[in-house]
Amino acid sequence: MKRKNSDKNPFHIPKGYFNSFEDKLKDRIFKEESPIPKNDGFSVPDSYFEQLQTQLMAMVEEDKSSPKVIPLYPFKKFLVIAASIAALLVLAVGINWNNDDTLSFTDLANSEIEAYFNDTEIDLSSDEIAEVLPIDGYEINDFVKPEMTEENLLDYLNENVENFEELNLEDNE
Amino acid sequence: MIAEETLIKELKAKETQSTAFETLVSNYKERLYWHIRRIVLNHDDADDVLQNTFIKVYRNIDGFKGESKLFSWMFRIATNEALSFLKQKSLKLGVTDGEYQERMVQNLQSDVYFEGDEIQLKLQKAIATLPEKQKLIFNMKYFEELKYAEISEILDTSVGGLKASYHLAVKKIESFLKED
Repeated sequence: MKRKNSDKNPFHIPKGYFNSFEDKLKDRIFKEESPIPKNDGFSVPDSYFEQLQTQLMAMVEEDKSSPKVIPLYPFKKFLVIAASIAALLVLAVGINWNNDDTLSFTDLANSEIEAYFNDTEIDLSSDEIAEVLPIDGYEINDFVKPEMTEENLLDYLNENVENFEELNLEDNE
Repeated sequence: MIAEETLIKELKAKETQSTAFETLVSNYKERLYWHIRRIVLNHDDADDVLQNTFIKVYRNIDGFKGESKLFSWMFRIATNEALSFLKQKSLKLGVTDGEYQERMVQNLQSDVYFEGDEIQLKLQKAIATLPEKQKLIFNMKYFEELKYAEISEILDTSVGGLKASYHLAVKKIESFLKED
């Protein structure tokens, strides 16, 4: 009986092996020649990973068993719900009785807004900030503080002005 | 190692959850630990972040849709956990992320779980100068030996972009190491 070609070779390779082989080889050669150390020097306490496994399994078991609490007097639950609804109704009527004001953004104190921005990491992108900031009333120097030392200025002039000496900087000091 | 699909099914089923989770921890604890450790640098912090990562994976496994590999999903959680850990720490201390990172590198000198020599310490200083993404890419490629395709799935960046960032990072580190 004639066998199919693919059956002749009993060996197999992982999918995409030859595609990644070149990259792997390049990486290895690069590492051999690079001045960057091959090891970064970090270590862990003895048997850390064994203990971690046990610790994690214990945490998961605890996580599984902790949230279920069965009430001793289930009817109390209905009492609490009824009382909450009654309290909410009384509050809602009480608040709306003589009060038409609703809270708005302007009621917030500026200090509260500033504190919120200081304490919370909002992760706004520069585009988002740009959308909110008005264009007028800002100078570039409000954001960027150029720190130009005399030395830098002289270096710049020295490199970019053809006849540096002709500037007669000494005389004008 | 059991196939990923089977492991995911077992993780989602109540009866097999515990055993499957044990397998998951056993398979990935070391790789995830080293990934986190290279971001936070200190062993105790890495331990905290790693435990939080596994607990998050356990609690959210039902929400895992299988759009990426389980491995990439876990690495993504670990990366986010480690980065937000660093941000919280620097916010608490009132310093920038960069300043905090510098302090962490300085602390390595007295860290009992850092056995690096002068060059390895200098390497950490060099890595600390890189932008966050380049730092991640360099560690994932050079030390963790992940493939570009894997890093691409974890960091949601194109392979081309990753290659460019990696080469840039290597160049910067090499020139930093050559400086006196």
